[in-house]
Amino acid sequence: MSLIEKQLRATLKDWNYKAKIKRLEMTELEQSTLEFDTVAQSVVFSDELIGEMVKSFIVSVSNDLAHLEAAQISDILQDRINYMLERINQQREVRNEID
Amino acid sequence: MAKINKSKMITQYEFCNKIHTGLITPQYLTKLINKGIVEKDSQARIDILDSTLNIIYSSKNMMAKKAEFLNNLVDKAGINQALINKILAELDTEDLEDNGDSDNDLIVKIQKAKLALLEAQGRIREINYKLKTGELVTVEDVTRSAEDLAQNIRGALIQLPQLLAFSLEHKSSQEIAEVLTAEFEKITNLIQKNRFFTRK
Repeated sequence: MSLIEKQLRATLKDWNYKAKIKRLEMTELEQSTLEFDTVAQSVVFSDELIGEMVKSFIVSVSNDLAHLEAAQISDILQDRINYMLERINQQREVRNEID
Repeated sequence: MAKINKSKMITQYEFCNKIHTGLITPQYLTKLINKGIVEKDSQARIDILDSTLNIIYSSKNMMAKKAEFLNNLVDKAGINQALINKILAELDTEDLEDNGDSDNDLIVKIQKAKLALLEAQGRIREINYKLKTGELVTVEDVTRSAEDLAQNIRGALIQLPQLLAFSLEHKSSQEIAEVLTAEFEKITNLIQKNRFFTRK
């Protein structure tokens, strides 16, 4: 191997290394950031989804609670809210699996 | 989520005596600085990650100790383990042998590597700029914000039965719906107060 070739190989090795490290840094940054607009859309979507869930929750629970005692109201509301939270958790787990 | 650990600038003393104790002496570091392998900034400080990698790459002897160097970055300098693993993988798979390239091929490859470096530097600058302007946000921020929001909503919902039971007693379904709507509005308002909530 000629001297010039040795020097070229050393230079190439150096630049390849520098480029690789920068690309790794770039990939790290890309993977750990998100577009604000994408996040905002997702939050707005969640707000609308939860809004709909709450509406149907109110409709269904209001009839069941009509003219009841406080203790019964508390128990029913507790059950329904627990059920709703469980469903949200299940949906989140499914979404996590998909992700 | 993987946390970004950008490298940081430290003194030569810290580099030799706190991070790479037993691997690099101050005298050897000075020699590497004089050779241009390690660079100092205007305040005579050096970049932990860049300097370590340049040292690893400076000789076969140092390359053989790469794992020790990189472990020090994780253990003593707090650099992200995932990033170090990637660097180790890159270093291990690097083919530096003669593969029959002509001098011209090598020159072209050098230009390509320089271009790749410039592109990566440009993209990093762009991402950092967008992070500053808010066009981009870190996954860590988003995750933390979502967890806080979920916890607040959950807390508010769990309190609701106790909070409302007496005020709903013996009420009609219409009256109950009104009270519940007002209470749930307060809870869903938490979402709209979230820093990422922007309706376009």
